[in-house]
Parts: sequence; C-alpha cells; structure tokens
Amino acid sequence: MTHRFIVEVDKISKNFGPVQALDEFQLKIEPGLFGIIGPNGAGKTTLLRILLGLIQPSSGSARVLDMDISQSKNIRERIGVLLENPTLPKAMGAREYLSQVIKIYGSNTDPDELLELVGLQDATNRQIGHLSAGMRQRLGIALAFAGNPELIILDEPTSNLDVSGREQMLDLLSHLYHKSRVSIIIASHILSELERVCTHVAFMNRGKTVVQGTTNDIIEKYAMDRYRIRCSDAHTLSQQLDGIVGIEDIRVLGPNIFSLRYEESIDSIELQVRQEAESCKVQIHRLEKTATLEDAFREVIQ
Amino acid sequence: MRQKLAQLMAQFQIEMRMSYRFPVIEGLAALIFLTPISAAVAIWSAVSFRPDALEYFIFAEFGFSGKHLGTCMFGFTQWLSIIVAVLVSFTAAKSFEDGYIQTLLTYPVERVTVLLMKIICVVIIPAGLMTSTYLFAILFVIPQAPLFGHVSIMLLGVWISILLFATLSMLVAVITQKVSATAIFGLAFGFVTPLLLSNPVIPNIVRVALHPFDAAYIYLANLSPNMMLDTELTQLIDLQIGFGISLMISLVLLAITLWLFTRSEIGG
Repeated sequence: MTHRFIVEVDKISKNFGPVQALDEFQLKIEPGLFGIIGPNGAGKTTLLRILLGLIQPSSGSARVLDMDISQSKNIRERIGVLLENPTLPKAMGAREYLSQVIKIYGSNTDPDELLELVGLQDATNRQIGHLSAGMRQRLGIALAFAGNPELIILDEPTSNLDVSGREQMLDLLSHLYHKSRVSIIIASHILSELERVCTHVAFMNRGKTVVQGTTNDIIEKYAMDRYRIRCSDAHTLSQQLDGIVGIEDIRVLGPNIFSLRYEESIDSIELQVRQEAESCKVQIHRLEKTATLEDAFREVIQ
Repeated sequence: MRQKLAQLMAQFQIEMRMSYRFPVIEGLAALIFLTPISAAVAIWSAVSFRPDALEYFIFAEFGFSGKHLGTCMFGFTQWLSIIVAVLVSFTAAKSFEDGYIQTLLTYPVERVTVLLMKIICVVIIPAGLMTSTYLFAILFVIPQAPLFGHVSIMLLGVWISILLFATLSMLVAVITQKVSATAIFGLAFGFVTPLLLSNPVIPNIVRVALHPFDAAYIYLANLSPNMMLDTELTQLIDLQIGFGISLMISLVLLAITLWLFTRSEIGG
C-alpha cells in the first residue's frame, strides 16, 4: 500500500517529570529513507518509543502508516524495529530466534534468506551471546525485516559499532533500501552517516523540529558558504581571522581544523587566509569549500 | 486460529529459552525432589526400630497418612514463596531491567499475553514439579494409601500458594521493574509473614488465605486418627473459605498487575 505520509506527528508533547522531552513536536515523513537528527537528549528516542506504543504522549496525536498510535499492535504488525543496543536472548541461536520472531509476525519469510541478506549466513547456529556487536546489529536488521514490513524504524543503528562496522552497516542499509524499497526511518546523532544514506532529514533539538527537508536542500540552504581550513594551529589562525570583513561564524573543530563562513569566492578567501597565516606563522595544509549536513546542523541549531 | 497458536508457541519457546535455560528447571526439580526423599528417610529412621514398623507404615489407622503427607513436603513450604519470587525476578523483573521486554514489545504481541505467559510459566513449572514430586512421594517413598481428600488438600494448597506468591511477586516486579526489589520482597514475604501470622490473635482464615500451603499442612498434621472432631470440622471449613479467599486475592492481584502493565511506560 502506498501512503502519502508514513508518519504524521501532530503537536506531540512528552514530559518525564520536570523534563520536557518533546514540546508540541510536529513531523510528516514521506516514504523513503528518512533521517531524524539531533544531539543526545533531543527527544529522538522518546519520539520513536511513542510511535511504537512503548510510552504514551502527554498530549498530541500521531499516525503511523495511516493508523493512530493507539492501535499499537496493528502498527507493529506492519513495521520492523531495531532499538538502540537491543537486548536479545543470548542463549538462543541466531536462526532459531529469527525463526521464532518470524512466527510471531505470522510471516512466511525464510530465515536463511534473511540471514544471507544481512551477511550472517555463516553464523546461523551461533548463539546470539557469542556474536560480535556488528553481527548482533546485523541480526537486529534481519529481525526488523522478519515480518515483511512496510516501514523500518532504526534507533542509533551504528551506536555500538567501530568505524568499519559503521561503514558496513550503512552500506547494508543503503543496499536493503534500494533492494526492497521499504521506507526506513533512522534516528541518529551522527550526521555524516545520515548524510550518506538519507534522502530526507529532520533536525530535532530540545524536543522540537527545527528544520525538515531533503538532505541536499538543507545543505544548500544552510551550509553552502562554509570553508574548512586544516592548518598547524587552528586556534591562533582563527583568532587572527576573527574580525576580518566578510569572514563570519568561525568555529574551531579541533587543534588543526576550523571552519568559517565567507560569501565571496574561494580565491578571495584563500588569499586572505594565507596572508593572515603567514603573519602569525601558521602553516595551511588545506582549504576547501565544504557543505556538509554537520555544517548545516550547526548553522541551524545556532 | 492456527496462526495465533503458532505466535503463542513462539512466544512460549522464547520465554523458556530466555528464563528457564539450564539449570533453572533442573536445579529446581532436584531441590523439590530431594525434599520428600530426605523427609521420608527421616521418618523411616525414626520408626524403623519399632517392632510394628511395617504395620505402622502400611495401615493408616495410626493417623500416619495425612501427617506424613504434609511432613514430606513441609520442609519446602518456607522456600516456596522465595523460589516463586526468584522465578518472577528471573522471568519478569530481569526482562524489564535488561531491556528485553522493550525488544519483545516492538514485535506484534499483546502486553497482556506477554505477562500472562510469564505468570503461567512461573505457576505451572514449580507447581507441576511439586505435584509430580508429591505423587512420587506417595507412590514410592511413603508407600501408603493416603485419603484422596488429604491429597486434594495438599495439592490445592500447593497450587493456590504458588498462584498467590506468583501474582504478588509479579505485581512487585511490574511496579518496581527491579530484580533485587522482587527478590527481596519474596524473602520478606517468605520469612516475615509466617512469623506475623503465628500470632494467635490473627483469625485462622487470614492465616489460610495468606499461606494456604502452611495451613493445609497444619490441618493435616493435627488430624486425629480415624475420626473427625468438631474443631477439625471448623478448621476444614476455614481451610476451604481461606483457599477461596486466597484464590480471589490472586485473581484481583493478577487483574491489577495486567492493568498496570498495559499502562506502564517501557524504557521511558
């Protein structure tokens, strides 16, 4: 079934005692690969738990696949979920557990096919407790696909993985999306990852949607005039450049890297920066015009 | 219908593999089975010096039957509430604490079914083991012919006690969502309430309602041989009413637990 919106959230608020996790949060998600981005504590996980019926909103309403969230079981029949650091029965074999979950969904999916799809064909009989973190996440993805879902919700799918594990997970998600065309919602605070895989994103901060749109539009709108400079002493050079006409919003990202906004051409800024670097004896390694989701996020959140 | 059954079976199998993996059931079975055997050995040792030992064992006219039926298992009653609380800690509180309940509730399962599955396992496993041990004891360890009524009283006491302890512990598990709190509650209930209930001021029905198995044992242990006294008839009526009240309390606790669980926030 095709839906205009797979998720519609209307003015949802959620309080945990004095803490307001969501504040009249609104969001409409079209089918596709969608990223929900926000810093830790922004309310991403709270939002997903509300959509899954694990917790109740204090006020507001939401619909998933045209069903009100009060019909939690009906929603869960049609979606697949991978929570952040999911707990799975350690004593059960990967295939054994997947088979039981497929039965719970009442689906006719072949567990071996699913395990092969996520690259776990060699670990089918291994106990879940003996799988590596990356393999457990892969099994989590297989479990999310167990019921032939129309929508998959992933909460921080790469949170406990190393760099190569993250790469593999993102490749897998991208591959599965293009193969199955099942809509996927990924909540994460790692912007570079979402930029790589998501066509649409929403920025969340302090329980509210700050910006929503296609990844490219958001980068275009909020981060096109940014330059990133790699040098021998980012702190000194950034101080030197501070106050120069046209240069705005300098952000030191590390001891050897900082970024700034400059609306003129790259040649013009390169000249300026090199002059200032020479005067304070800082060596420039690289100067490039960058436009990342991270830059856009910083711009928007500021 | 068939699909629903397959779903329930899948949930049951996951529950068994999660909570009752080796050596939980095996250890429990060994513990329960050892109790009548050790009790029987003590009984045999105590009476074997008598010249009429064989008759003592074979004939029930000495009032031996009911008393020893109870003695056989009584050593276990004090542990019953603790064992049930520990099982509830394993099955329910632990899945709250380690987050598996959250994973489970992302699948298309009803919360009521999830909790009922856990309660059924917690009741059936120890009660089934105790029943089979009890019957085993009657057949092999104390070779007598106990009255059917006595057997019924003891078994009812076992099942109602376990149901009461299970629903009570499950309520604690759902409210606190903590393994330690559930286990501590079991310990407290197992050791403190019998002391409180031993106060003679407390009506007998209350005693029966809160510790049905103990009450069943005490009733059987104090039976007079071959005849029923008026006081024993009153005790029997108390026992029957107390069992009924205990059952009602269990059902009310179960309803409250299910109601709370369906409204509780998971991982919030």
